Amino acid sequence: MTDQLPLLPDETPAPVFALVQVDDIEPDEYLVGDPPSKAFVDTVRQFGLIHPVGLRYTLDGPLAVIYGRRRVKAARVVGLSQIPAMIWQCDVTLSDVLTLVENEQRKRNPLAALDTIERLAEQGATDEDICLAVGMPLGTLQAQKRLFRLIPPLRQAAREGKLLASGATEAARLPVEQQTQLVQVLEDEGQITVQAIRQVRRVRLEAAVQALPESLFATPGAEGFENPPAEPADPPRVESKLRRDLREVTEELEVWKALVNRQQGMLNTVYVVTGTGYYPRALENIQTLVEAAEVALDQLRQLHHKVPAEVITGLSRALVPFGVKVDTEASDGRRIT
Amino acid sequence: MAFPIAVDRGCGRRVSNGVYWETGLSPYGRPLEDFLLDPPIRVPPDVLASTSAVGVHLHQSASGTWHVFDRIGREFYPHVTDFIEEVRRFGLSRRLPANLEFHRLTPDSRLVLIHDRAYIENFDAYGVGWTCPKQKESHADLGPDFCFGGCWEDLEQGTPVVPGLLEVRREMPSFEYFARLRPEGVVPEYSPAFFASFPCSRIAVVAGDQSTERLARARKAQLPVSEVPR
Repeated sequence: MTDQLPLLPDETPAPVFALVQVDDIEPDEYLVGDPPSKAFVDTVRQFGLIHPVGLRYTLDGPLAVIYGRRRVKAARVVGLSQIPAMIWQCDVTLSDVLTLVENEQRKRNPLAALDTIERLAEQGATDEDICLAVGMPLGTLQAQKRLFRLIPPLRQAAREGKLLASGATEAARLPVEQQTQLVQVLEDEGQITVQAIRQVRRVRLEAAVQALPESLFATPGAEGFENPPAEPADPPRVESKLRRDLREVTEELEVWKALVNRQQGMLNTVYVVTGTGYYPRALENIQTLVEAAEVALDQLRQLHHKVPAEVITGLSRALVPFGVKVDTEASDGRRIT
Repeated sequence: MAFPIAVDRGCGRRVSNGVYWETGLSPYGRPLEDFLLDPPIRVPPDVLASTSAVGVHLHQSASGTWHVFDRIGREFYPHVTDFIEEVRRFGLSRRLPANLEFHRLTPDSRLVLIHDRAYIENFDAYGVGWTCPKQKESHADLGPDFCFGGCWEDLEQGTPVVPGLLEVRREMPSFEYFARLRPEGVVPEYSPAFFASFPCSRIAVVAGDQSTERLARARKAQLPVSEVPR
């Protein structure tokens, strides 16, 4: 078993406030983290550093940064010679602990920010004005402003700590009706948890899904699908399909011929038009339609269904270029071959 | 039963250990159009809020069956037709999260697809014709209502086929298809909508170092499950 590393000293040393020369602090290349944003640099230029950074002495080098790396970098960008700092007498271990502690202590307080944003807005400040002044990205401000969607009782609950900031953010996404349900939760339980918010949302979601039409989940051909596939034993449907095939074949042929005439020698890349638009179909595609038409004719023949003469003659004309022979009896009794 | 063809799709190539919902193609099956929803059904706000641009969600319909809701990302399929035409050629293959509650899936389960541009609210402003994919007689003259066929009249880019016409060839990673450009000057107003609902032919697990464990999970579904090579 290893000895436990003592993270916290028996007595926490008290830091000393000082104005330190920026040049006495370790250089930027030792300071991990993103470079400061332009907006942040602008606020440092405007206000200086509001919060002192945390520093510690090293054996014989420059002052090491415990917390406030971004602020030190911004101070260098702006060209400040001196910045306020809290100097800690501590070892590396306590320094690391303090880095984490300071990060945790600096968490955002969206509810406090909301009140502030609201007051500034009431005085006529636009989102852009606020962002420019405080160095906050517009997206962050807009995310904060979503909390404006909280209905008054929930906003009050948030102020009183009965709805935590994380919950407030989730609750603000809900429509007024669901937020009103949360007021009931507040009355019953004295607080609103994130779990309660999710439960309200889940119930509503389930209701919304259950209200969807069953056709959404139906098997094609079942109720809700208006266009089930043709049954083989239904001659009118087969005939209807035949007519569609005929129309497509003739339309494709017409355009195909026109295009071939215009673009000699491009048989393999030519594009043809059908009633449903352009397709990259060449000869073999038309052949597919012809075959479908043949199948339909066969079916009709077997069913002794007589197709109107104009359909047969039209099809016959269309099929001639492909060497397909139509031999059937039309509804007017004529035998067409 | 034919299974989807593994090709580069709009959303990329299959990955090792990936779990996929497959709907195959077959000469004995039903036309793709039978699985389209026409008109598409606008997604209720509560359902939409529960779906993210990436990933799928399980929902239980009124019949008690669980279905997979999948929002097709506009990043990979800017137009809903990009996706449909891909399915027409290669079958459907959509990735499922490995931790999905597979035991809820049954043969009645459906993959319900959502696309942000599946419903064009102001299609009458396009002033162009359309072809109803389901050939509904009632869609011949809709007035201000929308027929899903309008989505084939709404491409933003493509290679012109015949100069001066709206018809274009649109190239996707493994195929190309033909549709029409949106008329110039029209600003489309879209609503996210359900546009298709597919049954599952098979759940495929792509071979990899974790495929054994993924297969075991997927086999909790009451559906055919297979391991497939990458």
